[in-house]
Amino acid sequence: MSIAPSPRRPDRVGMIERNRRAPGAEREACVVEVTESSPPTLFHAGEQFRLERLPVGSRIVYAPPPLKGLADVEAAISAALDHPLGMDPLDALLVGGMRLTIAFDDISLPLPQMRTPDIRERVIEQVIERAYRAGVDDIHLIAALAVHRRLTPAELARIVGQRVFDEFFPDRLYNHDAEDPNGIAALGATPEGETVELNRRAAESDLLVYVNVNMVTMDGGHKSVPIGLGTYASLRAHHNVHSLRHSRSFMDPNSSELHRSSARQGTIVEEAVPIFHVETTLNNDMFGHPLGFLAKPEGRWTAREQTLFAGLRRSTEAMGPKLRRTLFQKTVSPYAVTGVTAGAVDPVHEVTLDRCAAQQAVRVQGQADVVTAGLPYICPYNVNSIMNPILVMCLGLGYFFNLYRGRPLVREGGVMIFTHPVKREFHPVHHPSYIDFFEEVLAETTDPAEVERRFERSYAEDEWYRHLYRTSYAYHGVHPFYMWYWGAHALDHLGEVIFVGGDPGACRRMGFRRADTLRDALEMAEQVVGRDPSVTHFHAPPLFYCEVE
Amino acid sequence: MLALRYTPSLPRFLATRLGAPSGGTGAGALALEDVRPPLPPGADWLAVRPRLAGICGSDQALLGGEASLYLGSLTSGPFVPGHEVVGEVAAGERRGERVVVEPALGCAARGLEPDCPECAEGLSALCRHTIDGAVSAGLQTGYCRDAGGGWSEGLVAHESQLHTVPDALADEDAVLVEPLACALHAVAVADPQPGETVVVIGAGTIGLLTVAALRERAPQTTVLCVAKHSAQKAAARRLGADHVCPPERLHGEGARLTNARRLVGHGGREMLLGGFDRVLDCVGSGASIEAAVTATRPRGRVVLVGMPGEVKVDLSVAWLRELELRGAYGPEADFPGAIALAQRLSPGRLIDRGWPLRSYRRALEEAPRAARAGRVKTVFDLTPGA
Amino acid sequence: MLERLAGRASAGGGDRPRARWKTRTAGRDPWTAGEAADQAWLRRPAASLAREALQQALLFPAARTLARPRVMGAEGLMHTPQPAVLAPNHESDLDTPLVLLALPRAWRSRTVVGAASDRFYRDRLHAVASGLWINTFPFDRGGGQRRGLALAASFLRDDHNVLLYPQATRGAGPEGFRLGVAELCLATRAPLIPVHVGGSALIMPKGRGLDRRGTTTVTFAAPLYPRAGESPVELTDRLALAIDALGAGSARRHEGAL
Repeated sequence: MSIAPSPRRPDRVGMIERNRRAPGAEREACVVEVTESSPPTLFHAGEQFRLERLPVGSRIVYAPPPLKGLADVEAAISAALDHPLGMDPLDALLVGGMRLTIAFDDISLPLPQMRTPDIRERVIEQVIERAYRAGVDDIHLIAALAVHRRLTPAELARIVGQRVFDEFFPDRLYNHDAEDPNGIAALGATPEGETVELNRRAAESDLLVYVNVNMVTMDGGHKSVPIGLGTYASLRAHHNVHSLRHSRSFMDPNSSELHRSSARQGTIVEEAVPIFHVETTLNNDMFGHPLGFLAKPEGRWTAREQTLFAGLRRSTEAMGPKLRRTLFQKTVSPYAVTGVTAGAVDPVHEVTLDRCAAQQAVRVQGQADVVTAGLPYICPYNVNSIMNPILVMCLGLGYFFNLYRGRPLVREGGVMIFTHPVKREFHPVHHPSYIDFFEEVLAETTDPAEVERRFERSYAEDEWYRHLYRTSYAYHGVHPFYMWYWGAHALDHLGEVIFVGGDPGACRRMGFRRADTLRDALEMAEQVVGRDPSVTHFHAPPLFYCEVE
Repeated sequence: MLALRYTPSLPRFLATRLGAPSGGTGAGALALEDVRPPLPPGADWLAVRPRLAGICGSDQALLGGEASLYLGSLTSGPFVPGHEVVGEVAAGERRGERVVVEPALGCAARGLEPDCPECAEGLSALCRHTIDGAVSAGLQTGYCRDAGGGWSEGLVAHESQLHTVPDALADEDAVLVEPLACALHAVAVADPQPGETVVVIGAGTIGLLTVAALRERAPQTTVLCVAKHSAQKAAARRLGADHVCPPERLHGEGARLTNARRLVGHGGREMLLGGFDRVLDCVGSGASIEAAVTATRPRGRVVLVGMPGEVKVDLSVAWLRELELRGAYGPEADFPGAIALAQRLSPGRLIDRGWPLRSYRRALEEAPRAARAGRVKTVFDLTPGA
Repeated sequence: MLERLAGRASAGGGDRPRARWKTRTAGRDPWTAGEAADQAWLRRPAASLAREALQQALLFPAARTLARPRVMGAEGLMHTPQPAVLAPNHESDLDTPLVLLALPRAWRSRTVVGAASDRFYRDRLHAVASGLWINTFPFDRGGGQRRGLALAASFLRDDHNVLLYPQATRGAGPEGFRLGVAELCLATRAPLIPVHVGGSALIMPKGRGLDRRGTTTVTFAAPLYPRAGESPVELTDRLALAIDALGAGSARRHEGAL
């Protein structure tokens, strides 16, 4: 009597679920028009919550409700590894005595961190189990963090699980080091002249398994290996102002110069080492019980939820900043896994993008003159850290602006209004190069092209930053530049950016305006876009994107 | 010289068995003493200075009051425990040579001619003349008054007991050669055929080394390892187990792996209609033997590898299914094979840590805890300066 | 525009947005479709002991007083391999407690019951209550039962017996046997045990709660083993026939007893 979905059983995928697309009717409830009797709207502002009144006639776009996760994640992982798309099953690829490397996404995903066991832990454990069964002993696990900061041992253990950590750390579980002269393999260049360099261990393996978490449609696909295990030299090919200005947007791989370039690099990498991609998608259940109401329209909040919110707001305002930051950074989300797919990168990523769309896509008719959004306390680059002004800009103008497919939500020359305190504080260990970027580079110029031309090289090749990146837990010297380029498309496109409640000095340095209240900000916006502008509020988090027609 | 000497005392042993606290040291019957080094009882005997000496499950059972009282007739006290020894020859022309000690004291070691039938076949662990000869009574080094044992700074061994350690083999790997040889012998007793299904119950040192030995000697079999503690699972997989499960899932996994059917009867008694071809019990408790017996196919073979004591077990199914129950004790002639395998396997990674003799109480307390955490072996480190 | 900020009219001035407003539930609310999760902690050993105690002290005596069940065929379960799928006919909510009390302890302590997630897992209170009293797991009836059956398969893999109602709803009649349970057995190769519960519809009919006391029968049949190459339709037909035969048999015995 055979019940377990073991690899020896013949094709029996009947019991494995396939998630269906959400019906269109649900998505109509996601775009709400503001009327006279509408309640106020929730705006996140860093670690605080604001209730703001929007003008009558505005639109609010909400995230779709979370899809149900898989009932049996282990069986889904097993089925994916046994029936991959476009490649042989994993058991057929594992040959005794081979060199196996498993690379995985770093702590930038998901946001906030998901409850243990992390999906990467579950996938990695199954892959290792099969490797042992096949007689593979030479296994290395690498956190594919490109030029992000190294992960602390505790952070690594949280991602891969304590069992795997105890067995493999520190000699066979480690962070990718993009600045290690002996740890990098040069794989040549693409026909367009883009350098391709990769982590040496990965390039020289017999099989590379990549385990990713696809939270937004930007991730995954060819972005995983060439970028995650790449170096500054290979990143330069697409992490530059030109490529990012022509990525409209980088959340849509088909329209993104960033993705086209990394796809070319990916072809070169695949010639060097076979890659077995395992891509996973999550739903957007970001706020666990009892705060789940933060994701839904305010008009649907029950009296109990409104009381809860009032209590939440009061307590976060009353807390000291240090305690507040600790509590917020400690939150975990009950994300559920909505799918696991494995195999060759192109077919797998297509399925992944479909699943992300099923959870995150909202159709919106027409652009708006003014788009408002509340920026939360977390972005991929300040997990367990501090959100400095440059990261605020990246979150707002990089991520939130680019969460569209087709056309941006805000029209060309329009205004984006954010609520965030934009405090002028930097984490000295994690973001040392950001401090100098803010003081030195932004004081001179805020134009991304100028910044790139005059300053990027010196920061990228600075010995002190390189030393901190390799030995301490610091982002690479070039990373603040990438944050600035992330918003390059937005800076071109928008007429004005206004921060409500932002620090005046920080906003001025970055070239943005600030206002005390949303009403003031809307008045300032009227001067740029004209009287009686159309306003749309982008009600994120939880993350989603707009298909603008 | 310093030695941990065990003085057998029936009242103390029974008191420990009935629950008197002993701190793992047998109610004070084990003591660190300064004793005269043992004298070689004959010309063919050499003095050996141990470098590493392992703490075996049977030693812990002795000190914990769980060993069988039958051992009293086959051991002579007071003795120094410790039969998993890697050391160097202390004197004579082979001085400084690194050796492992094969503990069995057979007819050759005792200077008896002719050999008993067992020693003639090479089964010196099963020698019938264990009470005769130049050395006092005792099955093996570590249970014999005259021979000394590993938990000391010096012991004596007959030259037939010594096997040279190649330079490529580190001390940590060499100290596990004796249990590895016992594991290889157990696999030979089990004698699985290609294509059969085998279970190893227990993922302590002897269980994990048995899994490795099965992979080595019977690569075409399907091996399931029953590991109680989750940290032992990874170690079992690493050493080659195809499947790992906790003890309560043995019959369920067995039903799946052998296409058998699992019946659950009164009081949760599980049994299989069908079952595994070979089961090696490396735990030796009543529950594990009963599980072994109810998970084996009719006329299958159950091998008792882990030392059982006085256990309560329902053996009716063994009778109903005409099972073979065989014991596997000692290494037989498997030391050279074990040394070769140890060079490829690096069993030293199973060692948790080495303790000096002075910290023997802590070592004996920590040893079971380490076994649960997956780094299953604890040893005494007797190198100078430890 | 700014003069017409939302909520201004009813709040009566001031710049602070009002802190309370009336809940609007126009149209189907996709956000409150969130159901409670499976309460896995109720399957731990301590909780199982508590459940057994509660069942024996309260639930089963109440069921016996109300329904006076006669159990037949339970001895045959001693010879049935575990894990297996129990498939009773479904007439009333009294069916699950009756089947559970008819099972021997060796089965009951290892059985989980598939309960419709839209009814029993509406919110956390219902989830904990049904998990505690009758050891349920949420069975997703929507979408062709894929998710529910996948979860049931994972329970079978963990050596639990699964109790599922093949008619999927109460009072569906002999034509209402769905194919899901048969598909589950064919995919996992678990034995399928037909169970017949008779007389419960009179005591606790659908939609009316407790109506009156009466007598009921619970009959277990020999397990059906999926044959090689059998289709779900064939297996479901065999199951329906078996349950029908049990029903007729128990009715005859019932009349004989009267």
